[in-house]
Amino acid sequence: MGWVWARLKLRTTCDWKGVWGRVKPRTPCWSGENHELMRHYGSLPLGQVYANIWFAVKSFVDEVAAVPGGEHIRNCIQCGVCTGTCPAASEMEYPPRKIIALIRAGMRHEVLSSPSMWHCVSCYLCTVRCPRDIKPTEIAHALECLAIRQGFRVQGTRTPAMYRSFVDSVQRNGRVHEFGMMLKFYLTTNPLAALKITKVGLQLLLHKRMPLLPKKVKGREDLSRIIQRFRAVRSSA
Amino acid sequence: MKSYSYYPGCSSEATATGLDLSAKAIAKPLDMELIELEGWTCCGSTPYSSLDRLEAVVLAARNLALAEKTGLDLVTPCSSCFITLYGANLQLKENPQLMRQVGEALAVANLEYRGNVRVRHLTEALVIDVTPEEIASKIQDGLNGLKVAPYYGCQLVRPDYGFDDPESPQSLDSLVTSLGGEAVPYPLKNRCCGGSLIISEESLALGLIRKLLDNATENGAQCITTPCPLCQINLDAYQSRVNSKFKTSFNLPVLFVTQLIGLALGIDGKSLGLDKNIVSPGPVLEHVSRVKQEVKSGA
Ligand code: SF4
Ligand code: SF4
Repeated sequence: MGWVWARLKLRTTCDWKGVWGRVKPRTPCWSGENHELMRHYGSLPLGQVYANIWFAVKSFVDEVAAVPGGEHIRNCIQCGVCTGTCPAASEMEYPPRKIIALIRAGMRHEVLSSPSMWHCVSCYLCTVRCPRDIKPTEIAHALECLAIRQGFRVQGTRTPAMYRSFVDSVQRNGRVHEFGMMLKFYLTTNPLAALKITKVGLQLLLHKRMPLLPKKVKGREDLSRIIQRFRAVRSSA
Repeated sequence: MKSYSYYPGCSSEATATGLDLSAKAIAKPLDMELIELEGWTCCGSTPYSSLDRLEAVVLAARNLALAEKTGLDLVTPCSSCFITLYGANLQLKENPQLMRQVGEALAVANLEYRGNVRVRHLTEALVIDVTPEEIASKIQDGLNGLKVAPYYGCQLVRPDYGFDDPESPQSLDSLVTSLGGEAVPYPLKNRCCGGSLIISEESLALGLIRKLLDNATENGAQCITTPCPLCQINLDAYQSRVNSKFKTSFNLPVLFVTQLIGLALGIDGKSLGLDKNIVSPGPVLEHVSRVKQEVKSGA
């Protein structure tokens, strides 16, 4: 058992090229899933153990290069145009140029537990200006997905909670219901912070720009069936 | 009359009601038919694709499949929906494996997508199909010199989907001019307002909004115009937050470009949803109607 946990830790803390070679994982693997499986079976199924080893030996830069938009990450010449251009750079511990350097150095843990990419405002300035066709915007969002998928707890940003409230609202209603989303966001983060924007909220309400109840959308059930089916198709592929 | 399949986007039901109302109101006088896509759902926007990129593509694909059935171009007034639907469309066409998986998923709702939809921004349709010249020919009094800061935001022109220059866009300027307004120089016209991060990272976004308001004021703008729902709510509804945070006193109306076009066409404010603007567009209306009265009394 200790051996499994050692792999788990290894997987998330460094890029380790071991003697195991590459083993195709049985299921995509992330910490949340490991916890679930452990709780259910008392130990990890062999396939999942393989999956963990696979993630341990797979290099971080390969993983990022495999996501749409990350393909050209190896071409980065570290010129810094992206960071120089980024309106959110001042809020980021690792602005775009630096985060790319960290990815290429295999520093998975530092990158995925960082709040930096969660400050990206999707302005795409870096993407249109990069002289090497790298898409730092896509990389930022891909890192967010990886961080969530691999169960990293990110401190120092409320963006993940906001995105989660958004997605929950879409999955429930078919369309995002803005009031419901805001309510959930403030309740799950810091209800007191909502006080600061009471004036904004009231004005939106008074100007009929904030309906309190979600609309019943015709395609709502269809959409959830499509999503369920897609999840099944994807995990069996 | 050219027909389009119309995708309003979720914000059209709440924070951007004015955009939806005004888009529909100007369509007819400009010989456009906007047929709302029946049963449309969320496009799979940035928050969704930041948590799960591929699942977000499925959300877009459902709408694309609905649009394909109509055989028309899919037009959306929302910049964020535009890049999401456009990007997902590209991804599906370039990645046959993803297309197959998405196809299997869509099949449970008897839908299929073959990749034949053309996704377009409403502003693009106005500039390329209708053309500013055509708009100008339909306008009588127009805005008569109203000084407007044309604010593109990010996602109308970036990532570069080929409709306007990502660094120095001109389409909104030409629309404003065609309406008889004056497009003031606006160096920050394609800079970011913070988007949805106004909710989670308020101080970052408020700083960006302040710069945009500052830059428009410095250049003598009487109002800002934008096609984007996120830009509009950030600049309009959060203007009071900027004022209280930075001790400023901005009072700059922020109109959707469709509202501005509607005004120039002589459509009444209520049909354009101008009563929903938070910073009162009163001064803009006054400027436009004063000019109209002068023209009338002169005639
Ligand atoms: S602009 Fe492009 S090449 Fe330059 S540092 Fe950024 S990602 Fe690398
Ligand atoms: S898209 Fe994100 S990372 Fe790139 S410049 Fe804009 S805020 Fe910075």
